[in-house]
Amino acid sequence: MNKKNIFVFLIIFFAFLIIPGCWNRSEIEKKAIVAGMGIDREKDNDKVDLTLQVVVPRKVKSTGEGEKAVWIVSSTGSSVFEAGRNFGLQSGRKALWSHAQVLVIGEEAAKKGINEFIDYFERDHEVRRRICIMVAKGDAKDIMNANVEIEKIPAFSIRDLGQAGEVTSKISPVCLQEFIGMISSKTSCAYTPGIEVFEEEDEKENKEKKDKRLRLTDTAVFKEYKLRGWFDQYETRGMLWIIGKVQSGIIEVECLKGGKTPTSLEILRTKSKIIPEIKNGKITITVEVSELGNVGATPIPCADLSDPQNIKELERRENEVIKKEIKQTIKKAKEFNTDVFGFGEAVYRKYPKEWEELEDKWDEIFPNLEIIVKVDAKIRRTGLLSEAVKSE
Amino acid sequence: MLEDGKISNKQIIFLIITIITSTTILLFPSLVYKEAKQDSWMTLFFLMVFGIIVVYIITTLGLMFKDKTIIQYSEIIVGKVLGKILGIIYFVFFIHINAFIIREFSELLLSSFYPETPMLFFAIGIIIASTYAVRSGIEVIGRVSEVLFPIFIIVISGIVILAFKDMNFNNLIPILANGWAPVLKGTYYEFLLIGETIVLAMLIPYLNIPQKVRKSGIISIVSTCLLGILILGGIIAVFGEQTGYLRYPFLAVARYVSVAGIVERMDPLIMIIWIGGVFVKISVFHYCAVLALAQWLNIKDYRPLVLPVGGIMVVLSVILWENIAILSEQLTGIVIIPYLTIQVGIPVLLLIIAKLRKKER
Repeated sequence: MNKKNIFVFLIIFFAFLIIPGCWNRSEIEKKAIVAGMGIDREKDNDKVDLTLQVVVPRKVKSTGEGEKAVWIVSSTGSSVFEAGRNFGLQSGRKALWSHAQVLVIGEEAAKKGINEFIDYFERDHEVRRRICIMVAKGDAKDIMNANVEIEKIPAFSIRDLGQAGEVTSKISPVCLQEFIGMISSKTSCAYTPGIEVFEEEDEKENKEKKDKRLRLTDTAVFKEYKLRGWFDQYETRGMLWIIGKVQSGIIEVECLKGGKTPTSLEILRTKSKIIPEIKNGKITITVEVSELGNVGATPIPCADLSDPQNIKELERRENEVIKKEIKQTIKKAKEFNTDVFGFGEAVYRKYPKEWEELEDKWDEIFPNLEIIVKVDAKIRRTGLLSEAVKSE
Repeated sequence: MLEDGKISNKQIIFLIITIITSTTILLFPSLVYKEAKQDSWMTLFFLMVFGIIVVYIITTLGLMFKDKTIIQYSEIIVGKVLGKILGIIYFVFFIHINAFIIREFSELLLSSFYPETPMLFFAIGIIIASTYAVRSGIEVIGRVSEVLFPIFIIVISGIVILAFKDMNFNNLIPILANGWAPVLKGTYYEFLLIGETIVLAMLIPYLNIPQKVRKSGIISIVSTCLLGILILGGIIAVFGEQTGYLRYPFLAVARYVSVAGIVERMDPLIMIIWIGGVFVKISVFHYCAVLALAQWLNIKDYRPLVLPVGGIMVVLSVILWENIAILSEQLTGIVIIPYLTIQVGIPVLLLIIAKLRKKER
């Protein structure tokens, strides 16, 4: 009796799990699957211009050459929400956000403030918190329209571009969740990678036709939901050194023999530590960065790298280069008054009591903060060569 | 006897853990975070102490009258009239708390999975399932929880483990930045959750071995709190400051999980454990309400009461709260004192009176 009861019950239970979805069921072919979106603001009337890359399933499988499997649509509205719904006027289908991979915000829109976009994407239950967020140099619309060869769905390759950060550390991908995490802190500021369209002449065919391509460049720095400015690639890496996000990349130092061509060192592993200290009411922050690397390439002729003295000299030069990058970034950040490094939070963690007073004044404290940078770079190996060919 | 079925001590442990945890992971993390911030997980240590005290009181009382529920023995302890009044209070309490749970549960499904389905649909759906379970008796509810419990635990701990790489333990520092006061205030909110062990006062007569109930109660309180530490600590490590304004942080964690780009979008799992866990919870309270009414009215069979009581709960769950803001405000405001009085205050009084009377004799 009881076994039967449980069985019947489990059937009811699992039915209940599934059936409510039938209330307003929506067939997948009646949905417009959004792969990527770009947001711009119109200059004169503040309206939101939403550009969507909608996947065209029919084309995903076809082998047509160079054919993109997306339909690029723009719609306008007073908010992202409305623009998204207005999109239905053109497509007859409701947009499905859950598969969106990238969110590109136009430079102008970012300057005017992005709080309402972020609120919408966070509140909506379809948007994933893993969606990549980027700021376009120029209009987001152009980014959505640009040409990408590798993938049929351009938004997917824009997402993959972010992974370039792992090789160069000149860019660091940011997803919505991380972005909100940075921006919701009271003192820290958020950053996102920048993306731009560049034109390249197609040499084979005709030189008239210009190919519009995409690349990641620079880092957009936000202050309270508004774009404050850009860090260039080296400053970006300077920032990543401090927050400990450098994964790999190349450091160029002057060759031991002098000359124009530098010696390239590969970054293998890095670690960073932010140590705040308050003494007599004065805050100093020590940034300790340690790095482990290889010799990647060196011009010929070169000094004998099997000599520990020479390695030491290279390490010293590497230290200088890293330090310079970091200092340059700090200078720029102070100029913008944007605490992208989370110094404020580090102080809070160590001195919660004192922080209560400091918190409101952080905007005035940060630009005059004393920051000590300590770099400890180590070169462990020199690759498969012990010394360069023809070295003396 | 109204109920012939018996449940084992293992099942009662599972029941209590499921009952408390299933709503802990709904609205509570963000409500507690608003007070206790990064120290939220510490509230659970206080909660554990409080929970053990509550279990101690309820089981001492229950073991004095092994074959009776609180509805029956309150009549013996404080006399017929007062006892009847207490009985009706408990009946109303079980209905009200269940309306609360049904509403919380429907709100979650509405805001995160089925935005356009009418709320009534969920309320009626879960009550139909629970009506069936309650009519089949406590034994069935106990066994269902035995089936669902492993899934429940595996999913919760699985999500926490998968989210591990997105955790930033800096979010948990500084510890006790604002002293103990916020932590205690956060604990205060959670008291009503642990007070839900009051169902023990209704279930002790139906246990296999009532003598062991105290041990089972304490085991379940301790494991609930440990599970809670895991959940709250995990949520805060992932979301930090954001925990305070996310409505359902644990759901957000499940959505955020991504391992190697393959293990992703775990939210359907959350839905399974929520529907499973909340179902067990709703049917236990439904059962308690029906049993309380039957014993209060002195009827032989409680089954005819199941559906009407369920209907009342559904209606109340829809009309009592206008929107989700009111719901969560009440959860941290006006319901705490009355609930705690019923869950803990009355049993304490009953216990004192019962002890005094025993001495007199």
